[in-house]
Amino acid sequence: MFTFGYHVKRALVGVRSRPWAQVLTLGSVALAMVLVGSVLLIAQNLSRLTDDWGSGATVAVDLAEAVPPADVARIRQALKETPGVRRVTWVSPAQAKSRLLRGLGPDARLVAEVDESFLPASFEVVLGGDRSTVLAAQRRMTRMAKVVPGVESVRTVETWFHRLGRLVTGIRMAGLGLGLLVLFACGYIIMSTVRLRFVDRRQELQIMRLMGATERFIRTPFLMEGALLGLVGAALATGMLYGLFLLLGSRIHSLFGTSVSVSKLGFLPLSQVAYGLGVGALCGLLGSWFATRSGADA
Amino acid sequence: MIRLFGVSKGYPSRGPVLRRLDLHVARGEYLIICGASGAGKTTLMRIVTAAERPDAGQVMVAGRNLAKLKRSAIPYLRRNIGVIFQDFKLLGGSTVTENVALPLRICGIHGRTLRDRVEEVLELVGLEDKPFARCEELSGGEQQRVALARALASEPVILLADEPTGNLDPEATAQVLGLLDLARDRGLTVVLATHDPQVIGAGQADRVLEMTEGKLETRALRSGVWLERPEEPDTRGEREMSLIL
Repeated sequence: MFTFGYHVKRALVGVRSRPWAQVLTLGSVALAMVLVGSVLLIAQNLSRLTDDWGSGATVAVDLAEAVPPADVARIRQALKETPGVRRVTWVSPAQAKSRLLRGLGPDARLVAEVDESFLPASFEVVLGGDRSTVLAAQRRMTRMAKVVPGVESVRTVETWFHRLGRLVTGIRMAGLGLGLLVLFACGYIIMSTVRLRFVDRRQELQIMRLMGATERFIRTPFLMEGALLGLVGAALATGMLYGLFLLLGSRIHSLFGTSVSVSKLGFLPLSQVAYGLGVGALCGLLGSWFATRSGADA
Repeated sequence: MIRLFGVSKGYPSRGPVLRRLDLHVARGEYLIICGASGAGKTTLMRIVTAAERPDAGQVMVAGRNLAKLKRSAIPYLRRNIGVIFQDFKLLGGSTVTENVALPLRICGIHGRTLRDRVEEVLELVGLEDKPFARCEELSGGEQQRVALARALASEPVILLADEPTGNLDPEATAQVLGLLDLARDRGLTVVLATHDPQVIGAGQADRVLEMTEGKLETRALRSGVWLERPEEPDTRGEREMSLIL
């Protein structure tokens, strides 16, 4: 424990010994980690927004012609009992035509003469809940078209959900790949800084070896210094990322108004921040381990 | 305490430095090795501290055969050996106390025991009034005394001094030699390498050996008692080597 305190003191002396080199190292590590953090933050918020869009999505269940009222009631009940369904509304052919005419606006006269029986009766289903619940509800209703008599077709927004899901997964994978690259770069930067200090103190280390210092005793302060650089770099990155998030969050709000629910945008959860700090420290530790590994010329 | 059997060492740039060298330093003995610069004194010291491996021959230090010693065991061997150098090799920017405490920390000593031991050795070398002085602020003689205090702090059994007075004035030289005598009186085995005739004459060594062309020859049985001509070669090492190997 006492030796640990001594090593911590030596590590702090080391950090202070070349302040500009340390500032450059910390700056580089922090910027690199901000890059990865940004990608993760974007992926996370896209995921939240898709969840939000899924809640409130509407599915149209078109019925076949001349479905007996008993079957219509049964279909309505089945839809209501589906998890994730908030509201089921009957849309008659007359209501459907009225909506179509409203939707076409000035071109409504083109279909004004069409008989309303040409349009199918349908149920308009409003979904709610999280993304997975909404997706499951859509899949279940799509199956209904195949197995439930009287259901002609089901129009869902599942495809869009899948596209968005793939986009989020893609961004996450890119973030992971970028993260690995950046971790390697951070480790290399810290390795170079610690190596510089290791070589700087070559004479001192040789004296320590002559006095009987083990390699572990010699390397421990450098390993601590590397871990500290990684940890502080990650902490700085977190601070910078949070600042960027606050700044851009308000910009997005002013650009998109209420079409994007800014209240749904959120910063990385504490567990991910803690994970990031740990990864930063580990990265520094590995970098300094390579800088001072056995056989290093010091 | 230190035994060398047929030790040879050479460098590509300098050629052979030590040639089948035999040496036996008994426990508690004070030995001076003299010789011109480049004669191989420092190489000999480095071999004894396991900083270099000989090209041939065997080295026994404190009962351990260095050829059979694992790399990981070398630091523990070195804790039995205190070393001082011509250029002091103190930690720059550190205080007297920090320098003297270093070998104790390496040995895992801390707290009150560490403080007491540092005070004790600083008192021994006469620097008890300067524990927090920066080493750069001290005179050469004082710096060498700090180095000596540091070498003695972890209570080694062997003290190696490589040209310890090379950078000192006569007064400081006398102080350092007096401290080496004191170390011997406290039971340490002392080996002093020097090219300075003043040191050879002033020290209280048990033996003086001269290193020439990579070999050692006995020049005096006590400091100041010079032999007319070199003694017969010391063959004790060869006999003991045959018993050990």
